[in-house]
Amino acid sequence: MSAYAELAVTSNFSFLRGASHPQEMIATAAELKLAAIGIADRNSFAGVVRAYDEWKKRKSIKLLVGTRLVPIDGFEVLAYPTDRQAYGRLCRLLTQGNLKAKKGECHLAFEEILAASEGQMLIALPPLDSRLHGNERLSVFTERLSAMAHTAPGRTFLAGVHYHRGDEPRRLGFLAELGERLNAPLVAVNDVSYHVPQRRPLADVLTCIREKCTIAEAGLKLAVNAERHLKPAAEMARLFTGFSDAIARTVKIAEACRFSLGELTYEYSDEPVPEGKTAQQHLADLTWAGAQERYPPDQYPDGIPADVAKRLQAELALIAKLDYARYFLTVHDVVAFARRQQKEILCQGRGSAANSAVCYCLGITSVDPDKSNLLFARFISENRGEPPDIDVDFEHERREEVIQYIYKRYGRDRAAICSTVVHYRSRRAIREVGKALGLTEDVTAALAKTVWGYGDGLPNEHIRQAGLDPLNPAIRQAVELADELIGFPRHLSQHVGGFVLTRAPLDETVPIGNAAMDERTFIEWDKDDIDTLGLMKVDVLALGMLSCLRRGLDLIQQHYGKAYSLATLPQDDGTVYEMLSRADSVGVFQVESRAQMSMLPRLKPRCFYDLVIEVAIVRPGPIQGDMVHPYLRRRDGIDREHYPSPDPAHGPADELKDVLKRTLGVPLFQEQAMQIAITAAKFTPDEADGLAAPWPLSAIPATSICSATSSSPA
Amino acid sequence: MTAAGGPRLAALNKAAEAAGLVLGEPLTDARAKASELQVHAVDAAVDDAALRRLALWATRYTPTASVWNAENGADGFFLDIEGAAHLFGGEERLMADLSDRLENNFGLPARLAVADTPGTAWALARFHAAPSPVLPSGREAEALAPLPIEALRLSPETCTTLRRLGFKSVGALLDQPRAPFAARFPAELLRRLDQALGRIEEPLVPIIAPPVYHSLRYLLEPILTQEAVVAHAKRLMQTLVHVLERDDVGARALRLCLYRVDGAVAAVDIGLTLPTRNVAHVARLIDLKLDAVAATQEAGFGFEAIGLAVTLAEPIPARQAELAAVAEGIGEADRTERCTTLIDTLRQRLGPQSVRQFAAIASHLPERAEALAAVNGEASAWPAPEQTTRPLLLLPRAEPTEVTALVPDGPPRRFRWRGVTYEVAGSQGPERIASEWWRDPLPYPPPQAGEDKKGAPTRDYYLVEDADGHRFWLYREGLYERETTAARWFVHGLFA
Repeated sequence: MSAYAELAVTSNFSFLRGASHPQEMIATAAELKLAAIGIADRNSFAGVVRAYDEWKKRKSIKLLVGTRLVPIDGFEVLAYPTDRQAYGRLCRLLTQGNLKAKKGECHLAFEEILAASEGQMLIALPPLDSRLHGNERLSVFTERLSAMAHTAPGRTFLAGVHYHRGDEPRRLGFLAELGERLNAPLVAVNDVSYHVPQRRPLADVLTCIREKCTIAEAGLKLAVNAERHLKPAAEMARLFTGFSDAIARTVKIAEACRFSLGELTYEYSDEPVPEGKTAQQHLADLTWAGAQERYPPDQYPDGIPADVAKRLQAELALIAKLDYARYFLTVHDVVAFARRQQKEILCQGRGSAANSAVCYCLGITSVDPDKSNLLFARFISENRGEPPDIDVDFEHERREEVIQYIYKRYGRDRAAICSTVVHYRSRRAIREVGKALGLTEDVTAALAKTVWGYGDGLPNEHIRQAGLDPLNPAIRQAVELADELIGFPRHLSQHVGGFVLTRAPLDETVPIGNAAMDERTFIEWDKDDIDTLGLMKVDVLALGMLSCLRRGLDLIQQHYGKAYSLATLPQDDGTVYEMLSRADSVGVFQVESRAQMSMLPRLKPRCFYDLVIEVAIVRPGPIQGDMVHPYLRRRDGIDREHYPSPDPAHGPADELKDVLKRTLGVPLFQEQAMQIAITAAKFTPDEADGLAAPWPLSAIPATSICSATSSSPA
Repeated sequence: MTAAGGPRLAALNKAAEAAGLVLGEPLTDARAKASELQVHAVDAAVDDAALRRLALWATRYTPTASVWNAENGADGFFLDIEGAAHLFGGEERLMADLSDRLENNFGLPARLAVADTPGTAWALARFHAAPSPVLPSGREAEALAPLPIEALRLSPETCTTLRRLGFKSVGALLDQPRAPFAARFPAELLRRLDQALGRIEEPLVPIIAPPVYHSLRYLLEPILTQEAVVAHAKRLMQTLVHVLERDDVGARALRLCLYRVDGAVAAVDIGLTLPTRNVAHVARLIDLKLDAVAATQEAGFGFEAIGLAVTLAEPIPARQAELAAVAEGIGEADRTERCTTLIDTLRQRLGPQSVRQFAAIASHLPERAEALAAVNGEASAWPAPEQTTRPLLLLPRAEPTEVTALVPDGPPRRFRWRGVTYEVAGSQGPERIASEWWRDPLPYPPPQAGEDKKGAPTRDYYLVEDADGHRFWLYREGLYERETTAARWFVHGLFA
């Protein structure tokens, strides 16, 4: 019973060519019990991290990461790196090709491929036209193959595909003999484009979209049969009867490739750390110095409050344990740059980072641990295993300066913007599928309009409302195919502000490509991919309101001569609270919506913390979890504040009061849910973090308040 | 017509207007308002041709008829009736006559107007309230003043700008000094104004009737035999050839009219594949056609006149005579001509639909890969054959056969077809051709959840040879792996 490894897999990250997600490929390969699977997309590594993510869940099959190099004049070759350096060489090669071309294209030359061939396993794909004599393309191919076999002896192979065209034994025999002669032995591959044969209609539709024709006109551009799917070892062995060494070679190649994406993690850069100190030391120094500034002796005659000091020590210890110091230092570096400008760039950290006392002392966030109850576990937890996510907002008009600073400090070869993958959404999917199937424009437009917002899928009810019959065969076909297409990547685009910073040159870690803007480049992976691999990411985001505040502060300076900063703005102006209690909040950030305006007169905020609650309470979480009315009633005094207390054997009677007293006994914040779990149910902070993890951090960017996210209904 | 936001309505009939539809409305809205809407795509070429024919008909009133080009709206024409009006009893009577005929003979409601200048007439026809105004001379300015500025035939941008500036009617423009307009607007504005008021000339380009190639000959003595008819037709064709050569066209369809002594007329129509000026060829075709039609059988007392007319003339590209052809034999162009001559002859003999040629269709399914189409004289390019073999003879319908073969995709070992059993000595294949899923009709209503939705089965073709050397092309319908448990076999073609 022979084992087989599929080495020619095109996922849907070869845009408009592959018809299955990388995850689907991995899952199917594992089910078929293949020895290994190699994902090789066209001139890119864009989809490999998703495949890696899926593989991590199973680990029953070996994953090879490679690429299908397609130079501009033909001669396609699959390249699988055997080690980290070889992978770096491929990234460099693709970066070169990307930067020469405009966005979305890659111009490679055959000589460049040869130059980067050290350490790669190269499998050349012969041209489809299989006339064996008088075939010019074949002779050009043969020349190049022999050149490659000279440059990379022992690592060059010739791919043989069973196309089910009826002449396989003769053709494969010819290729085997050619491979013998040129020292590029035959290897069996199936040129996979989809994971199961039932995906063939979608693959045909993708061809139509790519070639810009309808399916009735596509003719010979479509594949003859549906055989380009993953096949089990037994089937491949049967198809390649007489060429069993070609099958065995696949496993040998798979074994020779020892590179795994896991080798890329945690290569943090060293910039922010000065000579002679370790990162942790430097972080500690900066933190304590910052603490002195935040708690100056004239306001705090006893020095730094004891609670805060204890927190700082605990946090620093955890950071040291998980080795995240560099991360904090990098963010601090950027924020410090912004603050020390002649005209200070307003910036603010937000999100779960506000739970960190270290961030407060470093000046990244502005929530005082002395005044608020912070929960560090919300921000970093040991078992999550991911580096922290510190989002910093900058004035949107001056964000470009910050970006240029990062480029200058780290160099363009070690800093780059992440990409974001633009997927097919319902509207576009049904439009393209309808056009490809030849439906008239008004029908596709009507179908597209049945989708509201970013919903997924086209429910039958909506189609009926548009005046079309969802059971009509043509419409059904289009809707089914569109459903399959939804979620497919369409192209890569530049992300708004996520930066990747590495120690090694970036183009040896991931290919870089041109963006549509001038002088902008971005990497092929998006934020989720970066998180999966554990690379360092800093989010430099823009907030229009900060520019607005900047202009407001300038005007105050100009007309009233008073210089305020975000930190020194008084927080207790009664007229402001009265204005808000009247719901006169048009133009006021965060409380402008109708829902907020209807809540304001009921809540009547009188102090800053009331505003915190105001913003937090008008969210789907508290509303669905039925927290709003109990809170309002308690506030108005209708209900009594009541804190459930445990049996004296399990803890003091008022243990929940500490957690919930600021919200009158009603849990509104995610942190409170976690804290209840920790104090009452004796969860460890990490376990409590597990409660919070599933919810996306839909944090509200507000000035100087702690994170108010959708609370769990627990 | 297509515009931003999808297809829009370009024209409506009365029923559509009654249903509340509006010009320029998006098609989807129109469909929602009136569900039994019949929609046709705008075909500018056809519309233009129809307009030209109408304008030609209108030359019964005056020799100068000028079709409007796109600038003027492309839906009407000018008639210069100066000097012709009195023949019809005056301008009003002419207008009434024209309007009646358009309405009754063609079913076209029309808006007409008469004025001294084309510009004013255009404006009045489009925008005037009264049905068919006849404007006395010298009253242009007065008539134009109340009309909107679109009556001046300006570009849409100019109109928008004028409206923004507050000029909504022509009268407002007439009062203003000219210099600011000359500075701010393209010269077209003042030009149109002057043309409408008659200050400058607007030349009209009259439509030219297409030429008629016709020659008629009266005979001294009536003729009775076919040979005589053909001989005279030959001479008629000779005279026509001169005119055809002058215009650089050839005849593609001819009509021979035979006028009998007692007044009856027999007509014979000839069609050709390519336009020709070749007298002998036409004569031969006439001969063949007369054989087939036997029109001369009813010659009665004989034919006293013969007329030959070219009913369809098409340009012949001028060809250089080949020097080498004389020495070596037949040149490429001659070959084409001989081929078309042959096709014409066959057509006359066998009927016009009986001569067809194969055209390649891009499809993987063998039975769909070619189709018969009418011959147009040129051999269409056949795509380069792929490596896969195809039989010489493809059976019109694949015939079922019983086959013994190894499952899942072994070649046939023995099969029985048309009552004869064949033992297979060698085979090649399988060549797998999947069905064209977009053609397979989906079941209606859809299958319930859980039921398999089956598409048309995939075919595996095998080329088999039996012990005597006969070669067959068989296929199995359905894959054992995933499509069916009992596949059927068919014979689809034969090799030599």
